[in-house]
Amino acid sequence: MGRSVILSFTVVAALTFSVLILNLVKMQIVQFEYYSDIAERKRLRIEIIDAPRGTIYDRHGTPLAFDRASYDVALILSEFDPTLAIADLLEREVGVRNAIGVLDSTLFLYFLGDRSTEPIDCGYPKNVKRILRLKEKYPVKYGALQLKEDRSGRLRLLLHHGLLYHHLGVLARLASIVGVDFFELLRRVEEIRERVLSIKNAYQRRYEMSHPQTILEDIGRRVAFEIEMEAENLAGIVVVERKRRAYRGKAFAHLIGYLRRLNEEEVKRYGEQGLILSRAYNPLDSFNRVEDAYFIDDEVGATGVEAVCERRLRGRKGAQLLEYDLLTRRYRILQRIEPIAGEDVYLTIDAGLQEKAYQALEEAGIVGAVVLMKPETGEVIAMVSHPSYDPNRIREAGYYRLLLKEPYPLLERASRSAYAPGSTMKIVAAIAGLSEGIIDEKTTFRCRGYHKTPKAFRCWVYPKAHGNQNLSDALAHSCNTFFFNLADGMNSHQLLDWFRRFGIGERPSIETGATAGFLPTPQWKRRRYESLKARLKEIQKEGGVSERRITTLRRRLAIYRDERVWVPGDNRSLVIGQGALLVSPLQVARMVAVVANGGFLVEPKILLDSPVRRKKLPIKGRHLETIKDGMWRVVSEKGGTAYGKGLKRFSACAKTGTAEVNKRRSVNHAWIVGFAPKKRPEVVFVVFGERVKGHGGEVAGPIAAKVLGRFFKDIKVATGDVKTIQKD
Amino acid sequence: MLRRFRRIDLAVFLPTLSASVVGLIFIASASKNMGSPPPPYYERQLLWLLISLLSYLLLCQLSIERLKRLAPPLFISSLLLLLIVLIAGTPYRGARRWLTLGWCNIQPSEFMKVSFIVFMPLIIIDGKARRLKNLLLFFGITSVVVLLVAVEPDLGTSLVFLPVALLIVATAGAKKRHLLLFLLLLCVAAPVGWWHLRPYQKRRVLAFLDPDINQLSDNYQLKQAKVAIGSGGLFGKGYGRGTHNALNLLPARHTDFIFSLVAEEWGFSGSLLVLGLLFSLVFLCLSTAVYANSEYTRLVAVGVAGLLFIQTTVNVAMNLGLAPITGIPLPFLTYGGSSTLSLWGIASALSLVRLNDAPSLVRIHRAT
Repeated sequence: MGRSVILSFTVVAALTFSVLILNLVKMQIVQFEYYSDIAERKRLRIEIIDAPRGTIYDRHGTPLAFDRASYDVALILSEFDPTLAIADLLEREVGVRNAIGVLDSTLFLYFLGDRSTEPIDCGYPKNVKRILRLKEKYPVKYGALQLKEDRSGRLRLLLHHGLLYHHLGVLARLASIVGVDFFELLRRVEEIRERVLSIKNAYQRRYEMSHPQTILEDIGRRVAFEIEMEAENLAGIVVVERKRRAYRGKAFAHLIGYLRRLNEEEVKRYGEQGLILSRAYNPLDSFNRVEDAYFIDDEVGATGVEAVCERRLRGRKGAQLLEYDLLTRRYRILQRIEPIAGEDVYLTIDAGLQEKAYQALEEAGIVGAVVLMKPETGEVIAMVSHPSYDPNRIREAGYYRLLLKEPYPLLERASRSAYAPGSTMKIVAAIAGLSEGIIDEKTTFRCRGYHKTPKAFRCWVYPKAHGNQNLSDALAHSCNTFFFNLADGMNSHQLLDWFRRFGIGERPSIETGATAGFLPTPQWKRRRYESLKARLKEIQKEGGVSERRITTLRRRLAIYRDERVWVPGDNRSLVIGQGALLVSPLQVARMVAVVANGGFLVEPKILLDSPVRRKKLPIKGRHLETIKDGMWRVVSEKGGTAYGKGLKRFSACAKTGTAEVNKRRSVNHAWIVGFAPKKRPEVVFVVFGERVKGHGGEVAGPIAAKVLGRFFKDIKVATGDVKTIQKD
Repeated sequence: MLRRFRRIDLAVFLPTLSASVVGLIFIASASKNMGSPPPPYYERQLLWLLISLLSYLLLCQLSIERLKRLAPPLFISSLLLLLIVLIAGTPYRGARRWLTLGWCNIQPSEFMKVSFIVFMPLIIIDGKARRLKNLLLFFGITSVVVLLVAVEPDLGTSLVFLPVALLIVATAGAKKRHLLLFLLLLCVAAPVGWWHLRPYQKRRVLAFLDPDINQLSDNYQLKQAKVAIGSGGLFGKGYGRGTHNALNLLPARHTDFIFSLVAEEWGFSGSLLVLGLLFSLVFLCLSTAVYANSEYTRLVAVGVAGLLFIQTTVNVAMNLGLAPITGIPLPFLTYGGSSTLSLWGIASALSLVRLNDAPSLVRIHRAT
């Protein structure tokens, strides 16, 4: 029996031995290359080099959005909080379970006022030498631990828990330097501690423990300096330099936009493509994709130029492939992809002018917009929407909530919102009439204060009247009656085609995007009628809708039954810029530029290096001269709608517009559009006031004058008609 | 003085010493990369090795009769130590495996191994193995030992005792049906045991069965060990030049995974050397058992063979990714005082057996 067992055991042992050897042969000889390859790759590491984002400048090189060095306060948990290290030591040396919990509860007692100086006896440590070594190396961190000989001559470990909290002193000191509430700071530290301690993956947890965790953002250079000076007393606290995007001011907010973190959807999409990098560790194959990759906390343009020029501004990340060298015990660079800094972007904007325009709106207390554009090239030199926001503060939650309330500062009113343009459309109508031969320069209509009946289609002076008006007079006085007559002489196609030629209802191709506004057409009117009818039918079939709603809908429909086709009234509404027509200030600027530049529809642009795009319209030069003459009379002649508003000295030609929003409360959209100087115009201007009291000329005129004052002072033009310009 | 140490069994002594030395120099290589200053593993292991050598020389002077007489008190004190460690042991990461004795820590479960091997055969020699009563006693004591170690908890070590016990009983000539009965009991006990496993123990077993779960912790160790071994190639990367060693990628490379380290730095030749040394000891034990002239010595030799075989196989298989992670040390190589001392104790028992039973087979070094 015995021998056979031994014998079979011998056989088993021999077999096992051969199996193990065979496995070794397989791994170390057959699969050597495979494993060797993996092991070699383990020696490699990649390090990502971030690329700085490009700066956005105005046309003269004034920076509008740039990276500025900023300072954050961060803490390195493993150095800052001695309880973590001590808890670890207690667990290892004397076997306290859940030592962190125990230490935290002593902290709790400490806060409750238990300041007993009696140390806690932790028993005999396993390794006295280790504790002594640690205490010698980190006297502050392990200061709360003491070794004391007891009666038998052995060393016991004592914990002075009162001393355990010297980091609270550190925190208090930090709070007083930075000037923040201590308990607020403590709360943030607790948050970080909680988060880091709850990380399951030990490797990652250790990484987070020994790397800076931000507790205070953007503390300013001076405070940062003070903290650095105090560094000796601030164990575990570090100042981290970080690039932050800074913006010039509110005036540029809509134009330039701001940055945001990658959103969830992008993180997912880029993540699937392997384009999301970690700041700590990245797989080797991401080396080849690094140029297009993002850090998870990277920022990208959210709106405006920052978003439109994202690709140019962002640049490309670089990377180094590092290899661990066994001899020097250091990493050395094997391969390097240089980062490419983001391109700088120059705008056609004039920063001074932009700020002046914003200031003018702000001082006047007007919600609205200003657009200044070069008539020949379409370069937008100022585009302002008021009110605006401070893009430097957009991340503050409280601030952002404020922006979502009346008067909606986030809304861009110059190019992305459209309004009833009022009489400014008379310029289009006049050219349409002249070009289609409905009227000529001498055609006269008599204004009695109303058109046909006093009930509808009144002139704005009603119950007064303008009397006999030719085209130039009608423009100067903004006589509605003249244009109603003109409208009656045209069919809808003729009129709408001219509106379209002037870009009404067409999207301006500005780089930052713009609204197309809305141009009503017979087709639209018909569709609207059909859809209303369908809705009524649907509601009646479904039932359960209040009787009142049905009546309202019926009444609305009744209007359309009469007028479901284009009627003369629609033409009349169009020529005075009322009704369903909606136009953005930028579109108005493009429209006026046609008069200023001799008949070209020029596309507005905002990037200095974009090509000029313009299209010649079939307009006769003398027709344009007639319009110009009328517009000059608007500012220069007594009775002109913008007379005495300070525009004359720039030899400006203008047209006002007052679109009724609420007749009862006399709330209007106020417009003034035009160009200056009359001879060889250099600038097209549009000033728009949303829901203001008063007429276009009264409200918008003085603002236009202020902005033009700045424009001409800046470029110091004193030629021909501009002799009257005075120094501001 | 020297005359007292004249009985040295080179066949046991040389492979044992070689394995210990290989272990020692790789402990040095491992600790070199474990922070600065490196932990003093090498120095401590050297000290323990010297102590072990001394005790080996001393123990070799005993006679078998002396050993038989010493075995019961040795076993009882080991058992007591196991009880004490449960109460007064120093907890470390939720386990009480060590006793702190002044400047050093001892691990009673390691001492139990040597006591178990020299004591347990006494219960069933001289034909006692054929009676169920004695077998019940034998397995009763074994269960007590296994349970005491298992509740520390130290599952790996506790499970080493079972096959060793079975091997001894089988060699002693127990009836087949009795053995089958105990095997059956074991099969019933296994699921119950699973219940009592700690979560990390279950996880390790599961991680082995399905490498996809828990990639980052346990299986990470297995994977890195495999890469280290495979990348060693035929002759290795050279002593102290293992990349996995230098980059701290090999976990527990001075203890459970020291085989991976040897395989990485000395390659296939190194692993062959280590396996050869350890298995040569196993086969030496078995040949000793065959030629043993008393039942006691045969059972001791088989016990030693079983222990060395189990520990070597389980540890190496774990390194190769063929077995789950258990804290079973590689005999003579793994860092640890208690384990080294205990293994040299086992080696001296083997030497005693050989010197007693087949002096003619043993080349005796006579110091002059």
